[in-house]
Amino acid sequence: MTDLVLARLQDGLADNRLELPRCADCGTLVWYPRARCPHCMSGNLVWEELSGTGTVYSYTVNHRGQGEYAGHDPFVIAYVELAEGPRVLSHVDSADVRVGDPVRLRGGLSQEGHVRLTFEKEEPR
Amino acid sequence: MTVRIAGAYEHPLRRIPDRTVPQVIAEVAYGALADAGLGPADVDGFFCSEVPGLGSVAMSDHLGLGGLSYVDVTEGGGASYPMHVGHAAAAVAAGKCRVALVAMAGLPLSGQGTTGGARGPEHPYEAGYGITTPAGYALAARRHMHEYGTTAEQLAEIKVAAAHHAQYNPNAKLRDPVTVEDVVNSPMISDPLHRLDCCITTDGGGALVIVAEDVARTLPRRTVKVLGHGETIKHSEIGRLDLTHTGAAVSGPRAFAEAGLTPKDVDYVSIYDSFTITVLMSLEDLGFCEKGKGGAFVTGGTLRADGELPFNTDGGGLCNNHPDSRGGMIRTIEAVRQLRDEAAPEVQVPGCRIGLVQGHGGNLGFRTAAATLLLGAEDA
Repeated sequence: MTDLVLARLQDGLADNRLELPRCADCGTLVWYPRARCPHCMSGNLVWEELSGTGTVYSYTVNHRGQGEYAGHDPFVIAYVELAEGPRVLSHVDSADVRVGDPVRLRGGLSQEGHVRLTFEKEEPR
Repeated sequence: MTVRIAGAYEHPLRRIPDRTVPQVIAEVAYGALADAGLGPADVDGFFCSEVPGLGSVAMSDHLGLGGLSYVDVTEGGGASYPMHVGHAAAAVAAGKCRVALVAMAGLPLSGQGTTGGARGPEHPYEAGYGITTPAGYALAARRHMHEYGTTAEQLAEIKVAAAHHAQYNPNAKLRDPVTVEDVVNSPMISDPLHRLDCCITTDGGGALVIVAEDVARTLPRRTVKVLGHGETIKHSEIGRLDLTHTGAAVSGPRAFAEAGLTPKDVDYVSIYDSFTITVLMSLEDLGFCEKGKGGAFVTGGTLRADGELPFNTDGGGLCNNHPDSRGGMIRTIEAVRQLRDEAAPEVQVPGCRIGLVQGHGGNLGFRTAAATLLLGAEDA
């Protein structure tokens, strides 16, 4: 079975674009991606490229990972609030993260092709 | 019509290597029925979460439940059992059944946890991060700290109170008192949550019997009134998840309204303590203190048996028992003990008349079920 919605997100991420479905009827930007709009039920969803920027809404330095992260050095799991609104689960590749830090998407897929949004801190200008 | 809890039973063991899950469910179900002065042939309503076999069918057969007229398999993780009590109370009040059994068990330490089933729709979007159960709660704790200035030392006060109570429970898994320093100096699991901010995992289970008032009048033991119930699912809001509230902000007011009570009326609380942050946020959401002031509220022994708002006097899931990583059943059972005046003497709340149970299931960092019960002593 192919999940066409998941595949669509992965296709964008493979080209380093973060694209999410927006409901053409009510305007809701949908995270996580779905085939129907959970706000108004519409199936009229249009994929839209996002800026790939956001800020850290919350984070944890995880000392006890699971699966391939078992025994891994401590690593940062965060919710990043995208500039366009949704709060997405992510990795932040930095040892020094604070709530509110501006971040930018660096990559979206693991080596195996699974969704793994990875952000890095934006350098202050 | 007032519906009553007439029987309660908590399995005394915390590691059970030599029995199956159905066998332990039978032990706790028969324990609760015996406590009520009833037997399996009297049961006409059965309420459970995921149990071995098809729905509730195989376990009803295994338990020999007689003449079932109402069954309900509601899965809300650790919140399932206060949900079941609410559902059972509604079914009894509607005349659908008169003697309802709620039972659960799991043996995760023996590799027989019951949680599982098909992956949820969110799985491809959340599974790739190495996230753990504590990490989800840590995300909630970090945001609460950011918005309200909550500290690790304040969270630790919750574990200190639970451990103080556990020393009086001979069946508790962890019986040693701890200090705030012990908690904040314990190994970091998922920053800001330390090992002693985390619940234990145990084998075990528990059961409750809910009956109609006319049945209660025929029984020998003291019963507990079900005064109010509320439940909800708090979800991720299409990506606009708020990490600083629990579902108790919705289930709590509904339960208080149904009971015609306010937080000031409550003598004792059983709060699902999967992690210290779960308790702190629940207390705020239930209205025991202002939102964001939970840290100050729990500081200074507030939650101890001799404090302003005694909580989890058996030691809770942090110290006593957390079978199958589902805390709602044992939390409800300790509230029943308090309202029957049968808690350990060192932690019994004198004249305890109104108790509150708060259950949560799932993960506060993602999506959760929440259920609130307001319970009353026999003369309340």
